[in-house]
Amino acid sequence: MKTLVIIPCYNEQDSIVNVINNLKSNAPDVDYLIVNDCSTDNTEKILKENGFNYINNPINLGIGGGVQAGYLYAQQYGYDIAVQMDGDGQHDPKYLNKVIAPVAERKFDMAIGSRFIEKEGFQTSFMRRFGINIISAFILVLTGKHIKDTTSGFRACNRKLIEFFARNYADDYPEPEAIMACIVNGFSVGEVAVVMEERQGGVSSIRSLKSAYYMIKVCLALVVNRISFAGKKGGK
Amino acid sequence: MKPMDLSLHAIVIIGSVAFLLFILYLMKKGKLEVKYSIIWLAFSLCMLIFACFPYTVLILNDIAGVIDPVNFIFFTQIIFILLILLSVSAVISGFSRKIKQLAQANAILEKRVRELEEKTKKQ
Repeated sequence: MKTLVIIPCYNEQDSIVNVINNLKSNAPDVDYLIVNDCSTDNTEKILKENGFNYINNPINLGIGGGVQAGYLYAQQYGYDIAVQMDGDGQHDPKYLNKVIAPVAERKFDMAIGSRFIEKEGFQTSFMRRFGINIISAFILVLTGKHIKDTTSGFRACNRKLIEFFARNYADDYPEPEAIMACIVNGFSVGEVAVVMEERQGGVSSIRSLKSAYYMIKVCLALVVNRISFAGKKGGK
Repeated sequence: MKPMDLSLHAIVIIGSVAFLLFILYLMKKGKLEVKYSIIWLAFSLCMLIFACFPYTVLILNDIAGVIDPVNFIFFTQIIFILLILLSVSAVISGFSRKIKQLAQANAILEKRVRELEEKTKKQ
């Protein structure tokens, strides 16, 4: 199956080369696409010098719009499976096949690499876990589905979802919203255990000062998602 | 209820006519699109009716049970302003979605052009 790894990348000049080389050696048979989201550092120069496969967003679209550009690319170039992986070295390409497997076997439409199933590796700070648990509880209440690692950006999805995401993908903090949109639109979502590293460089899209805004926005977005798709069950 | 002062009445009428004409002028110049002008036209027509026939305000005021007619006018205006602001937010949301789609399409095209250029350079 034709597989594309989408790597959103914003100011990752310190880590991106390692991430790609690591990916190439661990999974030589998959294609990858780096989405350079208008980085202000030397990221673009590095991508060009190394001859990597990348697209440049002309304006900064944020993580959501950047990843969506990747899905659009996957849709246009006829990929069967798309995998999202962060450009900061948090996600180990060793687990790529593990994340892809359930989607390739048609077990799930979307498989999320979760760091909380086997509780190994970098578990993030207490406050982060607290926030992730709140979002998780929210999704559980709204849909009856328990997803543990709601903010994990390490996820694989099939062709149907590539087409769906190319059309609808949340803007600012898209990970939990994407889960919600999948579930309410009748796609199946599951988790697989992975081990994550601490980021090698760059800054998270979720910073401490913005975290309260983040929580409110995500929870509101989840409710809106629930309401707006409630009448359209089966209409994917 | 004291009848409105004549010169005040004239100012109010002139003001609302001027406002309506200004909206029509912007539309004629193409600076205000028809689909965004409808709510402004409704607003200014409403104000013009209130200005020309203050009696309508008194009737509506009594129906709504507001103490001072001027409060009724302010209330109507605030409702309109809120509606206009909300519609502006909705329009902006539509724009931001379209800008995002443009940027994404542009990014993919830029890659194709870049690769084409590299290929032609090699030949």
